[in-house]
Amino acid sequence: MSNTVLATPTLRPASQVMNLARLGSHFQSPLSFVRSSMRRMMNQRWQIQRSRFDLDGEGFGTAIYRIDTPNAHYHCVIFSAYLPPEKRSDRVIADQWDVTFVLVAGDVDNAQLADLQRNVPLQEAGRFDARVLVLSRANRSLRNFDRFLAALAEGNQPDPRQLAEVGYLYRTTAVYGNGKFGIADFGCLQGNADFSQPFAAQMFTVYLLRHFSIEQIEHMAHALAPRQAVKLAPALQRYLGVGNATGLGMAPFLINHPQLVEQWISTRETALAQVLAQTAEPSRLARFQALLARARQHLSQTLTEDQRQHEQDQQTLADLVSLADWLNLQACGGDLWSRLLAWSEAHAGLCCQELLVSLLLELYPEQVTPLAEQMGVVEDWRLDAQMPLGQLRELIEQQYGWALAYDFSDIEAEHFFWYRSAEKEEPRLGMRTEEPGAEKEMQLGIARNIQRCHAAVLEYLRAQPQALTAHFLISQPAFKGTVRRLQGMALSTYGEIRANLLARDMLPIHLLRCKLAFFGAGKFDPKSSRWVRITLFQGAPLVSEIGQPFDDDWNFAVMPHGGF
Amino acid sequence: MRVSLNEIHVMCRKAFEGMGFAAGDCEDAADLVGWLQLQGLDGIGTLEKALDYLQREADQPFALRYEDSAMLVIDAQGQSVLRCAAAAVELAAGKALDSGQAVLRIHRCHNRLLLLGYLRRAAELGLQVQARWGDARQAHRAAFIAGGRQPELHSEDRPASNAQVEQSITILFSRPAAPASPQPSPPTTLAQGFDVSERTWQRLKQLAEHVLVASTEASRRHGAGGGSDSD
Repeated sequence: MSNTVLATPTLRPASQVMNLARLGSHFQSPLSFVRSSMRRMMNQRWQIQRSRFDLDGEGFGTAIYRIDTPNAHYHCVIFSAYLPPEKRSDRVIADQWDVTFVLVAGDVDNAQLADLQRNVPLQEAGRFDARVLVLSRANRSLRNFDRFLAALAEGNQPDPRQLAEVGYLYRTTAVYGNGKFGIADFGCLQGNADFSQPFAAQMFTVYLLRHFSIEQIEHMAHALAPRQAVKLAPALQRYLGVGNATGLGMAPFLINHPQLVEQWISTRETALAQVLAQTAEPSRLARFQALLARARQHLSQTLTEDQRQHEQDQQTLADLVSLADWLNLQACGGDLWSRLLAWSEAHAGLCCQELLVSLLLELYPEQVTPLAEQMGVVEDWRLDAQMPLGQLRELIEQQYGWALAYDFSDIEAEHFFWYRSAEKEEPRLGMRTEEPGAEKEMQLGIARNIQRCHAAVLEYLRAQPQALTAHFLISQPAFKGTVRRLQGMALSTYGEIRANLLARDMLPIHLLRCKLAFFGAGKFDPKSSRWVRITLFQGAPLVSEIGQPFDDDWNFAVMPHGGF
Repeated sequence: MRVSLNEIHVMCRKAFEGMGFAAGDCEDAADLVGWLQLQGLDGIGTLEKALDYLQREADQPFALRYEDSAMLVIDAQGQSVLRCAAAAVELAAGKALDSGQAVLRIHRCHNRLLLLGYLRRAAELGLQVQARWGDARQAHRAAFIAGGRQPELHSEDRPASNAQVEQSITILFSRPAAPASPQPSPPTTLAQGFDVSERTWQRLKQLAEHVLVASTEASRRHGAGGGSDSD
């Protein structure tokens, strides 16, 4: 019996799925953007060739890669320059970096190269045109860079434990797309078969940085000791990813794009429901056991100094042991996957539960991977001004009960305010009663906005019971944004993150992790509750392996052992 | 200077926020400027002319002066249509969808050309839309066919007169006899970007800066929660 399908289970409820702590417990999955990018590259046999590599012995200079896909060709132009120690910062307020780079559509002639040379190192202060699809920069992990360089120059392979600790040579600190600083608008990529999915162009550019980091360090080692230097072993190359340092800037995105969040989460939940509808066959169970073992090993090799994250990882590891023990007592077939998920919900923490979801999605690629091509959405907000105001009230009370439940008379519920700093518009969090600027706060307190709107609607209805939404908004235009949002989201299930982002006990890092997991991040290493480092593409196939058969399950990479 | 559509949206949204526009109005107004730019109607230039009014005006709701099943009269009280005309347009369009035809008249309003972006949405709902307005020198007419995305614009000179011309606009929404078929989108000029006046852009940037909070050493250290940059 193969691919027996049980009755399709219902989707998990939003009250469960959209809990902030649960969203902050996500792991990468086959739907993650690095995974879909890699599949596209491999299946379509993209060609990536070095067309220029003018680096000095210290790795400074210009490198250009040409990329050919079945649909088009592109160039990645990378500038590497000396970075004074006092300028080294992962923050958006930095103004110099070790490498700066762009992905460009089509060819790059000398005039454009000269223009890029002037502007790319300036990043936000530069100007670009729509030929540029992605703009980014990265800083070296100095520890890994120095150790790797020394080892390779001495003819040795670096210790893989260093990569387990910090899984990259470069850490990106921003990867810009969608029209920023004059580069191509997202709309320019809508008809582009290579990069039409969200963040596809950005993820691909990050992958190219990984390739560059390998070629650069090998070049530097050779320059240092031409006779002794060796290349980085392929197993270590595969275990090398690209880092990313992310702060609060990522958080407003999820609040300001609920339709996109709806698409991402509902796709993930749909995929899960499809998997849960399958009968667990022996071969799939064996595969699950193997994936589970690897995920455990990966997690045990994830190091962080952050106490909360460390404890969470340890709890997850313990939960996974219990889960494996329980599973060993179960027979194949039937509704095993549903029972497994139910067991985790009853006995394990959120991270274990969500890791389980990621693993389950690996088991049925024929069901799941096509869904990864449906992660985009054209955002469109329509105000229904004709809606009777009484109906709007019902909508709020039915769909936003979670938001109405917060007690904003409690000062703790409005402890924080989000604002944009005058310093490069860096998003920051302030304490309302202690810091200036609350009058300029960003509108991320969705629950509070809903409560205020609900109160105003009730009051208006007392005087005008037959009013339409338009009458209310003509009288009180300040609520238009909230009304349009709640009308637009009323038909969706998962768009709204059910949290009060102003509350004292709110952890912004949950928002960062949710988005980063959809990117495909691993090795979550928080540096505070507002700042996290992660690794992308660790375990991914190499450029030299594109076109060869590959297993699309390179995630949860584990440390290679000896014999390089 | 040349900018992207997203830059226009983001810059305008922040500038409107800096001018005190309500949440919702900021996005609508920014979207409208971007739409005008896409139509080749110099949204940024039109906005530049509106800025003096926008910065001067007080933020007060429009007043609903008259309403029946086919008519809506609004007093904008000397404000720009960018402020809150979107809800009035939606209400009047809804009346036309219900009863076949409706008229919206907005008294004492500014920047009437900018209203076209909102009227476009009514056309997309399947309504024919005709707008008329004038100033001391010219009379203007804009028309969308049902399902249309681009307006036809006509202007003609008025004979010289000392009569006071009221700053108003009248819009007729009507349901067409045959169902509207959506007009194909015009080819976009996204890939070329958009030329805008650097002076206007700087002015918008200054307005956008009103939403920023001055940085302090404490906010730099703790506000973003950045960790150590070394490793």
